[in-house]
Amino acid sequence: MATEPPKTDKLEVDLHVKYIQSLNTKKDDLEYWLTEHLRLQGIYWGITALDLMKHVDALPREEVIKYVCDCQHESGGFGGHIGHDPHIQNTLPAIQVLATLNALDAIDADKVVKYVASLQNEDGSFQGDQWGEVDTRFCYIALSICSLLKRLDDINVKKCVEWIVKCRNYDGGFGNQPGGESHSAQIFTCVNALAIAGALHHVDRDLLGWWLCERQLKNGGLNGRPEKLEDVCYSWWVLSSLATIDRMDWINPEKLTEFILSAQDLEDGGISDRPGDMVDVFHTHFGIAGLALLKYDGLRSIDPVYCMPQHVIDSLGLPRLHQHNDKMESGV
Amino acid sequence: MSSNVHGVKKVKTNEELAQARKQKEAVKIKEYNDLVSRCKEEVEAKHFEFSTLRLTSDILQLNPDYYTIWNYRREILLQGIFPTMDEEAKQQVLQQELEFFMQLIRINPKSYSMWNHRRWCLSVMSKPDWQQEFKLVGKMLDLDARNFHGWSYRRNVVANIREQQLDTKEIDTKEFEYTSTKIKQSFSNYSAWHYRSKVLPSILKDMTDEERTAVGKKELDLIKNALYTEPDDQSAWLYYWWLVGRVPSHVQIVGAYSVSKTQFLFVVFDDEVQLAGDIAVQDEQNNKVNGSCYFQPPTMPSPLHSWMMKHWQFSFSNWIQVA
Ligand SMILES: [Zn+2]
Repeated sequence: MATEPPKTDKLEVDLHVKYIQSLNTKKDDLEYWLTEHLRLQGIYWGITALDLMKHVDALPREEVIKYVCDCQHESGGFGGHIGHDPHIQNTLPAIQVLATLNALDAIDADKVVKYVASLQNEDGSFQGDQWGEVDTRFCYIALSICSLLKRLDDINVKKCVEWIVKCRNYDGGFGNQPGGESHSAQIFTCVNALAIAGALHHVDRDLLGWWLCERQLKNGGLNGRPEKLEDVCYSWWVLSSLATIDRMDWINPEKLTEFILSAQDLEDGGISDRPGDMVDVFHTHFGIAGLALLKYDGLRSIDPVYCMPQHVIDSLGLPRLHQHNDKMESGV
Repeated sequence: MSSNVHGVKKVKTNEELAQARKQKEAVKIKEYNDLVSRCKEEVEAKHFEFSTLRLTSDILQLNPDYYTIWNYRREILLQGIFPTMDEEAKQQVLQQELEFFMQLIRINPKSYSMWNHRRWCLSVMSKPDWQQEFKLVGKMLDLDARNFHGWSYRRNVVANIREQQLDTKEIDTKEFEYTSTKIKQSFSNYSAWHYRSKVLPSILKDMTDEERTAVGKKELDLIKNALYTEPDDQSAWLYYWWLVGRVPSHVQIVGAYSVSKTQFLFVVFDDEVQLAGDIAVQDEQNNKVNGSCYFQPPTMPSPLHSWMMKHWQFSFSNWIQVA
């Protein structure tokens, strides 16, 4: 058995900044090519983590903006990389990156909104692209895009809320579709979609809060569903849902902080799903986002609803739809 | 998120090993990128033929999450291959698509794109064999009793089977018993408890009161067994709570006020409330005041909850009763 990984009790900001900067230089790795369809999302994970660490300048701003714009199609939707097909799942990170870089005027918002609206179904749900997959994830994405662009009136919010409520379960959680089992990532999307829609009264906060706080395991980490392993990305899905329904104090923040920090790669930077595993930008982002929500010293605050830096949401003039930061505001 | 970022151990490496790996990868990268660019060229030239379909197969075997390649695959089938075929030949091609799925599922059982493709194939088949799908999903859940995609697909298959039947009692009973089996195999199979909560209402629907009571008693026995075996497990507790119904806490109206010369009326409660129906408001003549209610998210943390009602009566000075 290998030796125990080295431990630290602090966030290695410099290492993580370097790690994120290095991502675009790994063309010798097959993995770089196999994950091409995730590149635009990767930019969002990277930029957001950097901004939270107060290092947004570590990536070249103009280049990033140009790249994002090049992923857009005539239809208004964005592909996962230049030349990849448009999908709503790639359209949100495009908007998020541009908002964070204060460059929303680089794209035609009308086109984006039209694309999103075209994906709404009769019953209020959204499909991911023309091929018809339906999922509560896409409701959140649609609402989030339209809210960031201040165009919520262009989609049928009321019907969308009605459909999301159909996905609610007896445990207070939400699934991917009506009848689907509760899952932390789906709960994140539904709770925060309802927050954006001003419909949080559909959430039974105490019941859901209980389910969510039971996700914390003895080692401090959170899992996504009962009887599953802990995983850094759930630090975000679970914690932000708790923040939005104002039940974040139902879990142990010190132990969760410890767990996230223990999943850092102390040699090459980055954060992995669990201590000792290979790091990736997805878990690096969600680990740092979780720490930001936990008010980790030196990080900027994050908005649990939009999963974006709070100062970006504030400067867009959007209301804080959660009660989290008001309670523990410590300044950026 | 793709599953390949989960559970991959970091292995110690040195310069020499890294160099050797790089050389090996360089070959693979070239092969892969050649495949991708050839495939893109063919699709752009609208060569929607079997040879292009095979290119997509080669790529998807290396990378089943590449959604654009799946889209190409469907375009090739729809635009190039199906138009030249009769129904039977089309069915055969789609059957091969289902077999291709079975090959890939061994590489990555959690790819959304793959499952979407299977659903799409069945949706364009003239005679989809849902019983075959039912058997397949049973086998998958035998291998992994918590597989999210597996359960999700099971619901999809069952919904299609239900649609074909006039009497859905048989399939509902079958599904209910299926959850019993899964729960008895493991009391902490949360997916099975969840599914049970969705099937139970349709089982009870046409029952007499006595029959319902009998089912209820059996449910309580099952829960009791589960709680004795796995007392720390949340599954059975939540199911129990749902079955007996949560006792709502007593919520009171703290006050209500209307804003003069506007259409707004505010009602404040001492705890969180969800509305089961409209708030009943009467004016001084005991007439019902109609309007729609909106939840007012508090601007700061507060134990009070207020609802706003926008009514259609322009001004009334006194309201009599809010209930
Ligand atoms: Zn994860």
